[in-house]
Amino acid sequence: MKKGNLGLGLKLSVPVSDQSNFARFLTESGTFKDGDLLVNRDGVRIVSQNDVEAPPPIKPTDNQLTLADIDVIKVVGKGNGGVVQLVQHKWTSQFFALKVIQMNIEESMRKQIAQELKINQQAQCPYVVVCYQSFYENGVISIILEYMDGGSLADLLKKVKTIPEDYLAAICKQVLKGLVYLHHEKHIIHRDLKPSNLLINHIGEVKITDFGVSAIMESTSGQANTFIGTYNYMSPERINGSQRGYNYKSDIWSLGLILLECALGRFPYAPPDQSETWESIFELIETIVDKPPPIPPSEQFSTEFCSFISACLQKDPKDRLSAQELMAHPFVNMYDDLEVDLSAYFSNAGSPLATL
Amino acid sequence: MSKKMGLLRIGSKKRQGDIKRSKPRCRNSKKMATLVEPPNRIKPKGKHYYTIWQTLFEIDTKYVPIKPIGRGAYGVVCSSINRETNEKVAIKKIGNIFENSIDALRTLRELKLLRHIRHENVIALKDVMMPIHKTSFKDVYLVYELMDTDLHQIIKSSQPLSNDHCKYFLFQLLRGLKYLHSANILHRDLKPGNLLVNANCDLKICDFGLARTNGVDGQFMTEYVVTRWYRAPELLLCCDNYGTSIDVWSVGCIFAEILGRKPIFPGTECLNQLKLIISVLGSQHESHLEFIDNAKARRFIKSLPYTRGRHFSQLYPQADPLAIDLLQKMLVFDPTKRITVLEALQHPYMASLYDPRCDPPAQVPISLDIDEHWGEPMIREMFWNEMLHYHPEAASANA
Repeated sequence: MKKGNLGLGLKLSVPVSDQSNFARFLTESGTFKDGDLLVNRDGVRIVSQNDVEAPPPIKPTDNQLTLADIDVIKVVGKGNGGVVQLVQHKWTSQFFALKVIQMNIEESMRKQIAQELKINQQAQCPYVVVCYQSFYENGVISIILEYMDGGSLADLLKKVKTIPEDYLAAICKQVLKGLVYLHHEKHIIHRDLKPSNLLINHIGEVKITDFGVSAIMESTSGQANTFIGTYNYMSPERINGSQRGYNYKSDIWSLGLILLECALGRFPYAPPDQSETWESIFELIETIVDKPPPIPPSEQFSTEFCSFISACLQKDPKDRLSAQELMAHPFVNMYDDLEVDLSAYFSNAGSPLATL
Repeated sequence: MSKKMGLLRIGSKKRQGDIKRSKPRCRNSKKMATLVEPPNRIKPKGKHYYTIWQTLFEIDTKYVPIKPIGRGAYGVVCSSINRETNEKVAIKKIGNIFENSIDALRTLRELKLLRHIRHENVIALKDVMMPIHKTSFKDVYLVYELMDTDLHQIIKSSQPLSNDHCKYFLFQLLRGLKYLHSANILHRDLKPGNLLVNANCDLKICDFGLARTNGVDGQFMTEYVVTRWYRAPELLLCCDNYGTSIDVWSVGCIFAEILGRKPIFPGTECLNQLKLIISVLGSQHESHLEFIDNAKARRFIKSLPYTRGRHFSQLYPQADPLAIDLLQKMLVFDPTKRITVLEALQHPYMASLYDPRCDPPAQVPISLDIDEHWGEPMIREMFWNEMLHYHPEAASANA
């Protein structure tokens, strides 16, 4: 058959294709070099003293950052539907994380989303990752975030497998403080709390990230009560939709599962009948919704830890404690006098700049 | 022969006020392909080297790259000219092909399929470049015919699409699919981005099995970027036996998107996807759920709150009533009751375009002998054999 025979004379104008702003970027040697500064797997080195004083660091309230002023160093991860890159500001040499999200939504929504992300994430709390700026350009949402050089709790778990109770308590306390801020001060539900959204750094800090992103994602699907987040950490009431709207207690359920996973070294729910894998997503959600919640073995863990997990993993959200209430739980404070050193723990588990 | 329609054109001038912000300057980003020295400064015969978006292309000297045109999880695509034929082509580099055996097998599947497929509405694979060393090559370079854009870009652009545009796109998609289904080929990943189009509205199906694996084994991840919006209910519900009807569902979603200029079921993940579908189609009677063989999945569907759904004429009030009728028959929850591709072509909406005499089936059903458990040596051998089909002269060479 002759080509174009059925063409009907129809024509299209060919739109200029959107091109991604950022490529996967890695120097051939794997080392980033900029003036005196060298960054590679082994860490950061200053080759020589620089007499010129660097400009003062950028603060989140400055609103002065532009994408043109940052250099991409490398991709450090993928999360929540986007790629995360380590970037450096040209003038101040500060490191940031740049999260780039491609969004399949109407043009008119994108600018609004970028603005909402900025507002939502303008957190002033040491336990949540700082958002400096959000942009929409060429079909891409870019978010400049605080860089956490230790990667995430998920990365840590891959190395250490399990986390001892005393370190868990110290981690838990920081996450709870972040949740107290989000729930009780900012009135934000995270919606997607999971190990990869808890970031750590070499000075021993644990910070919550990617909150608010899910809420924006939700609004683009045009429906209330949508599921957003990994199913594994989703609370029963969200899965079966029996609760109207979201509730802060959903994040508490996720926190309980995360802590139990860190303690056990595996995801707390196991497939039934001694299987190795889940038959389907529906088997997983049936297990979460219909079966009793997982509990830590009492012979392996302290009474306080078991009690804390139980307080988080109540299937009825009304029976779950709030973040504020959990702050007073004995488990959170029982190791205070030990002066747990998370900085050393995180550093020993992986070298500083572990994500490089 | 089909009736000729009146001449229709769309102006190519950009909309006033649609001023594009200048892109931020990215370090080392390049707009055009750049000829570079070969690595190790050893230039093999018949190859030359270009850097495209920081990706090194080692290609046959008869191809001259022009510029990058796309990038995905799989690699980089650039437009090029074949100097022997003066024909424009698209070269796709898939780097480190053996790093992931699942992805390698998917690429291999596409190579095998496209070698046999000859149809106006399916993208043609023109060449697979021969690497220098059989035993050590890591990258694969695929050469396709070059198209101007894809349907995703058309849908999200601001230009109006007439009923004739909608009809013609759907017609070509159904024609291509009829050919594939007659060869027992299911596409399984139809979506607007996988439908390439030209300025004259020619449409071709592409991307057979190149979708890369996402998510970790044993963990169910939500994916905001990798779209599941075009997946049929039987796939979302983990049914083991599915057939050509899954592609028909995808076509229905694409057709709805052409009509509405936005996705009809933009689910944020698997369960939400199902909820959105039910919210439009309405709650299903028991008899329409018998195809679900997973008891837990069936329970989930039944547990969803009751809804009457929404008629497509409410969603697309400007659409041709015949288009609505056809859409309604495509987007049927129960795959056994969904319209087939052939029936869709025979639908009154397609009457002005479809001529059964012009659509011969594929010659023979195409079978793939691909074993999911092959290791790298075997996969490498199979890739080499596919390349030999395009380069029979290399069979005698010592590689």
